[in-house]
Amino acid sequence: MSFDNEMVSNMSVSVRGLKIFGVVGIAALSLAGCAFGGGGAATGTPITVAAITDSTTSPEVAAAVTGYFNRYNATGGYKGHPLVLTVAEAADNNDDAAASAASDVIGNSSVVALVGSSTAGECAVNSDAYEKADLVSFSALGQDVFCFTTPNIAPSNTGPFLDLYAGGWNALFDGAKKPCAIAIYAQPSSEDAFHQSIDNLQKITGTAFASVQVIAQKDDGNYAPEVVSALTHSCDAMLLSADSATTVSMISALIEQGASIPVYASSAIYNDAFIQAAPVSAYKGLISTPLQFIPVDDAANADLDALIAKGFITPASGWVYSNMQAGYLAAQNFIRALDKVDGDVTRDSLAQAARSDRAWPNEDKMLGNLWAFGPGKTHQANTSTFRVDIEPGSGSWTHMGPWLLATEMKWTDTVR
Amino acid sequence: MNLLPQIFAGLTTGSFFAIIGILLTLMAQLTRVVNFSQVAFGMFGGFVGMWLETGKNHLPVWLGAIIAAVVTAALSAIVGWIIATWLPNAQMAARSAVTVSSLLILVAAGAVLFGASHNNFKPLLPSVPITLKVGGTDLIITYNMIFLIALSLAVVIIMQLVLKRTMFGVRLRAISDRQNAAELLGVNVKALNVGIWAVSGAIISIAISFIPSTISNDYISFSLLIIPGAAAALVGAFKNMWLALVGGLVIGVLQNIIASNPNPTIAGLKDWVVFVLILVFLLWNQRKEVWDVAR
Repeated sequence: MSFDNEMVSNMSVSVRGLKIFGVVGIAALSLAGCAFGGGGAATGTPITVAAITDSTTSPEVAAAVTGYFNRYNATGGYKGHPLVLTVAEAADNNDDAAASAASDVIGNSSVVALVGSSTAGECAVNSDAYEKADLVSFSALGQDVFCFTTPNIAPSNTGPFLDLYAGGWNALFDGAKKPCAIAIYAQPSSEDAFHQSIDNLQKITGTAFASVQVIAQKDDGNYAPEVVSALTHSCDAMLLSADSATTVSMISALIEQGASIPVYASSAIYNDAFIQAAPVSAYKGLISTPLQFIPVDDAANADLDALIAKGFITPASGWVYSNMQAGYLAAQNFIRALDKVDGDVTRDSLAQAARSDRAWPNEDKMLGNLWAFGPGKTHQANTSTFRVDIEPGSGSWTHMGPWLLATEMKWTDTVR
Repeated sequence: MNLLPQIFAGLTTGSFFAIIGILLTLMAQLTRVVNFSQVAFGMFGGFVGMWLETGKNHLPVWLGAIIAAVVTAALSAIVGWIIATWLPNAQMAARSAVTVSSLLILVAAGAVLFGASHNNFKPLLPSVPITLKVGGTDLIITYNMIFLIALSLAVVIIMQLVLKRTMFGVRLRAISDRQNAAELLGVNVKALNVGIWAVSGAIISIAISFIPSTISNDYISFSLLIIPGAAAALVGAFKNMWLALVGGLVIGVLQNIIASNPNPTIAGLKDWVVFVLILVFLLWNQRKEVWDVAR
C-alpha cells in the first residue's frame, strides 16, 4: 500500500461515510502517546480496519481491539503506520443495519479488513458481499452458521454449534442417559446447524436424546412451555443454547416445575449477571458450560489484564470478560496476518496473507488449540472448550478443565 | 399428549393477562381511555424495584416492590392528570392516543435509565413449586401463580363492590356516564380520574412483583404484553371485568398449549390465539347487525 496524499484524501472522505461511534483513531493515538511518553509511537498514515458491532450488547469487543491496537501503535505500529479501528454500528439481528454497515465498509477503499465484528446475524447477511469484495473478516464473536462456513471469515470463538455439541458431550460424560435439548436461534440458517450438532452427537455417542426442540427466538422471551414440554419426556439432563438472560428464565422455569436435573448451557452464561441471578442461586442442580476461552482468572490472560491495568481498555460495569478475550484475539490474529503481508497493505495482499498458510498457526494460551485462518473454505478456527461448573448453592464457577478439543469429541464441522 | 401440565403452566401468564385486561376494562369504563401504556407503567415500576433491590441500594425485595408501586402510581397519575386537564371532553380515541406517547416514553426512559443488559424481574414470592397428583400426572402450581389469580379475583370483586355498593362508587360511575352533570353537582372529576390512574398504576406494579422470571423483561416485548391483555379486555367488550378475567386465563392457557407443540410451525402460531380471539369477538358482537352495518 502506498501512502500517498491522494490515498489519504480519498480515505478521509470515505471514512466520513461510515457510521462511526467513537472508539477511533486520533483519541486512541493520543492516549498511546501519553502512555509511552510519545517515544516510538507510530505516526505514519493509518491502516484502517472496520468492525460491525452492537455497542449495546457487546461493547467490550471493539474496546479490546482498540486497546490492543493502541499499545501496538505506541510501540511503532506496522512499520510506523498506526492501526485504526472504525466501528460501524448494527444492532443484533437487524439485517438491514448489518447490510448497510457492510456496504459502507466495503465502499470505503481505505478499509483493508474487518477486525472484531460481533453483531448477531451479520455473517449471514454479509458473507457473500465480503467474498465478492475479497475482504477478510477476523470476526470476534461468530454467532451464525455463515461465520464458520465462509472462506473470508474466521471467528475467534467456538460459536454456538460446537458450544451446544460440547455441552451435550459433557452431559453424556456425566452419565446422562436421556438428555433433552432446547436451542434458540435468531437466524433461520442456524436451525439446521443446531440440528446437525445434536444429530452428530447422537450418532457419535449412540445416545438418543429424549427431546430436541430447536426453535426460533420469541418476542416475549417466554420459553416455559418448551421447558415443561421437555420435562414430560422425563429427561435426566437439560442442554440449553440461548443467551444468558434467556437461560436464566429457562432455569427459572425448571425451578417452577420442581426440576433439579443438571443444566448444560451455552458459554454465553459466563458472566457476573448470570451467576448473581436469583434463579441461578436457587437452582438445586448442577449448571455447566463449555467456555470458548480460558477462564477469567487464569494466568493465560496476563497480557489482556495488562492492557486493562495500563488503561488501554477501561471496562465498564457489567462488561463480559470473554467478549474482551474475543476482541483481543481478533486483533492479535489480524496483526499476525499483517506481519506476513508481501508489499503494500491492501485488501488483496491482506486476504492473501490471511488465507495462506504462512501466518499460521497462532498460539495463544487463551485457547486450547492453535488458531489459523488459512485457505479453508470453512473456518472452525477455535476448536477448544474449557468446562466450568456452578455447583448448587456455591455461587461461583469451578474450573473443570483441562481443555476439551473438538477432535477429542469427534466433532464434524458445521456445513450449510 | 398430556396437556394438563401445559394448562397449569399457562395459568401464570394467563392470570397476568387477566389483570391487564381487568385494568384496561376499568380504565375504559371510568376514565374513557384505552391505556396502551398500562403494562409499560408496570414494567418501569418493575425496573425501579429491581434497581432498589440490587447494587448499592440493596433494599429488601418487599420494600423495593412497595416503593416501585408508589412510583408507578405517581407516574400513572401524572398521565391521568395531563389527560384530565387538557383533554377532559375529548373523544375516547384522542384520550387513548396520549397513552401511546406515554408507552413510547416509558420504553425509551427504561432503556436509558436501566441499560440494555439486565436480569429478568425477580418475583416477590419464592418460585417453590407445589405438586398436585391428578390421575397420575404431576401438576405444578407456584405461590406466584396463586397470588396473581387471587389478585385478579380481588380486583374484580373489590371494584364491583365499590362501584355498586358505595357512594364513592356512585360518584365514579357518574363521572364515567355523565361527566358534565357530575361536575355540576360538585363531584371533583379531575381528582377522581387521577385517582383511578394512580390505583391502576399501583395494581399493575404489584402484579409485576409476582410474575415469574421465566418472562423476559425486554422493554419493548414486555410492554407489548398489552396486546394479549387488550384481547382479554375485548372478551368482556371493555365492559365486563369477569369476562376479561376469563379471557386472560384462556389466552394464557391456549398460548402455552400451542407453544409446546413439538411441530415448530404449529408452535409458532401461538400469537395467533390473540388474533383469532379478537376476530371471533368481532363476529359475535356483530351477529345481529344487518349487512350494511356489519360491514
